Amino acid sequence: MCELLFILSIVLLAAASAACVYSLHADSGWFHAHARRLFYLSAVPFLGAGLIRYYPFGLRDFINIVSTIWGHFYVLAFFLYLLLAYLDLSRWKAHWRPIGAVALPFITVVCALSLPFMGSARSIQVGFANHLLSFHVILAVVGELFFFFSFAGSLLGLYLERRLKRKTSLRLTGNLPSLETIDHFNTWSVTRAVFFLTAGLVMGIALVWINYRTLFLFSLKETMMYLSWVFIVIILLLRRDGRLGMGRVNAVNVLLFAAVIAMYVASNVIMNTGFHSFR
Amino acid sequence: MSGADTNREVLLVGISHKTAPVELRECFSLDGDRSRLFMERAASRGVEEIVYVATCNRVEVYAAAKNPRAAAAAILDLLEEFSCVPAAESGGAVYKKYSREAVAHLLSVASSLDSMVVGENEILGQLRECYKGAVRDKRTGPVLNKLFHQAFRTAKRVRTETNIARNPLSIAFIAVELARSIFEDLSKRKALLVGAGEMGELILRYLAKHGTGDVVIANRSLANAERIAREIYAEAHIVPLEDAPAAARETDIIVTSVSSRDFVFTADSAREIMRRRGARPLFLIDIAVPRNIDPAVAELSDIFLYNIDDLKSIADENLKSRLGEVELAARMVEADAREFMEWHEGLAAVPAISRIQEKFEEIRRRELDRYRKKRLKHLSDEDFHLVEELTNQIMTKTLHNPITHLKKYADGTRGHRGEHPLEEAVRIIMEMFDK
Repeated sequence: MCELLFILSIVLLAAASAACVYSLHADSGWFHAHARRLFYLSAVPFLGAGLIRYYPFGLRDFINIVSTIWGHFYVLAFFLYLLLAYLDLSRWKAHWRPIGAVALPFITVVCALSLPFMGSARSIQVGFANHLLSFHVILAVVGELFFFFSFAGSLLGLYLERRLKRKTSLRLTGNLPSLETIDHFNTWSVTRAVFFLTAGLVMGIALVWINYRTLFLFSLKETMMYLSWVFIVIILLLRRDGRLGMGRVNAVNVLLFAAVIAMYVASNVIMNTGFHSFR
Repeated sequence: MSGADTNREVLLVGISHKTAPVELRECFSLDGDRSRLFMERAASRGVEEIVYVATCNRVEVYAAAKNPRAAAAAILDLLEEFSCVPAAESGGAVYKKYSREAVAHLLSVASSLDSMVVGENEILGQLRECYKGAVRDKRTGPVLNKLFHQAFRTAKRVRTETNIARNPLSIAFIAVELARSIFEDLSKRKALLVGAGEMGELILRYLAKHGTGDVVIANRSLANAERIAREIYAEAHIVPLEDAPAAARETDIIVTSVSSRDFVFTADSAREIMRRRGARPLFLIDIAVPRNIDPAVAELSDIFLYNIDDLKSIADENLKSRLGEVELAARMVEADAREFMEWHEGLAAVPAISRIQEKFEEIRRRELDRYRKKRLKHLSDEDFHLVEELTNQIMTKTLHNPITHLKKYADGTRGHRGEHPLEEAVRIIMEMFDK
């Protein structure tokens, strides 16, 4: 049942992604409205799948959710849902369509990638059990997700800049936010990414200190996480400084996000040895 | 609505940019007083409802009359008389349309499908003005009122449900739209006009109209720059032409239209401007011929340079996209014209419906009065009011089905025709009271 509901949510998400991308291309309000509806509709089987798997919900289960490999993906997708719904209610509401055109396919891919791990027993091996571990994971994941939104914004920015430079028709550019709006959104996202990731890392350091009386265990995964944090801070500094120009910062943002996501996949899915890995 | 109001047919007599040159169209164009007199004279010659429409692209007279052919002839005579153009000269240019064709034409005109620039916005406002004038002079009746309101609704639908009016065609408006694609809030942006060319002035006018925060004008003749400032943006800063590069460092939008053999902005000077102003985007519009800005400037990061040909090709692209929407819009017009015609044909049943309702109401009132005086005199006013409401409800519900059917039969498409009229009549009456 859980698998069935999860697959149903992926199908609905795929439909929402297609409708959202097409609505942007064809400037169709009808498809936009349906993309939104399908997105919210897909949340029902998605939440249903999570409830079936983890009900009844205790503190122990909460740690289980974030420490198993599928649970980790689930939390990632869950917060993507939450953030996208939040954007729909926030001051970025008018720009939900172009952001959704990148974010919806991304959630679909995250969910689809997690399918093979639904039956996997692999979980984070940290050598201790502490309820703060859940908060460490959640804060770090939310930080990475905000970084994803800045990546989505950067892609849009590069696309819009390319169209404006090529001097093509206004048909598509008219549906996108202005370059400056996209830039403000990206700075907004990266600022939050740094905040949440820093909070997540501080909590991680505290956990390591409590359990091992050291701040750093020199594991590959820890190094990768700190490197991600450094990348995100670099992006924030470049955006705040403003000397490099919107286009170049967007390009750097896209490249560094690709590097971070590669490290994320490597450290969470492929790597299965050492501290903090999924085994 | 009286019976006389319900058998009027819609007709149209007119000329437009499609049938007549401007020299002829302007002869038929009447100013306020003369158009009022024209409508008054038409009314005296049997044209019951009339709206005179005159824009730069068309002169059209919409009317509703019991005898549409005679009304069209009268309108044509009057147009000839008021314009002093003999029928022989205007004959080929004038068109006459009746009934559904006239209705569909007005709906097309309001939706700007018949305009010189398809999708333009002005026509709807012009139609509204002409219609308001006719209403003020009491020249309209139930048919034209309904028709014009339908035309306004159709036009709104076409504009909101298709992309026909979406992409701008004017060079100045395209420039504003591009600025909006780059900057979040134009009110926080500064524009610089270099030179006082006509098109540059127009673009600046549009930018100012759409809320550009501050304006600088750099020109050889300061008197001319002051004139532009007076007309467009009173608080504009005026600087000599040589100071344009220095002024450019502080601005976000630059419009150049100065007559010069050399580039006003070279790649090097643009690089220097960008270095001084930081990496904020800069929007350059070069509408001068020969060009004022070195095309190599477009290669620089965060600079968006458009020349007159770039803007023109976007206008052409937008026009193509508008024309692609015409078919969809025409289908909407056709559907709404059909709906109007169904309503119009249904008008034939209005006198009969009114008569039935009056008769039933008369019976109800009479019986209520009779009962109030004798068998219901013990009821309080409040209770009797309830009885009144009850009988009214019964009457309304009893009549609902027959009236609905009567309207359907009246449009002629759903009515029954047969060899035995009595049998048919019985069948219709039975159907009317059938659920």
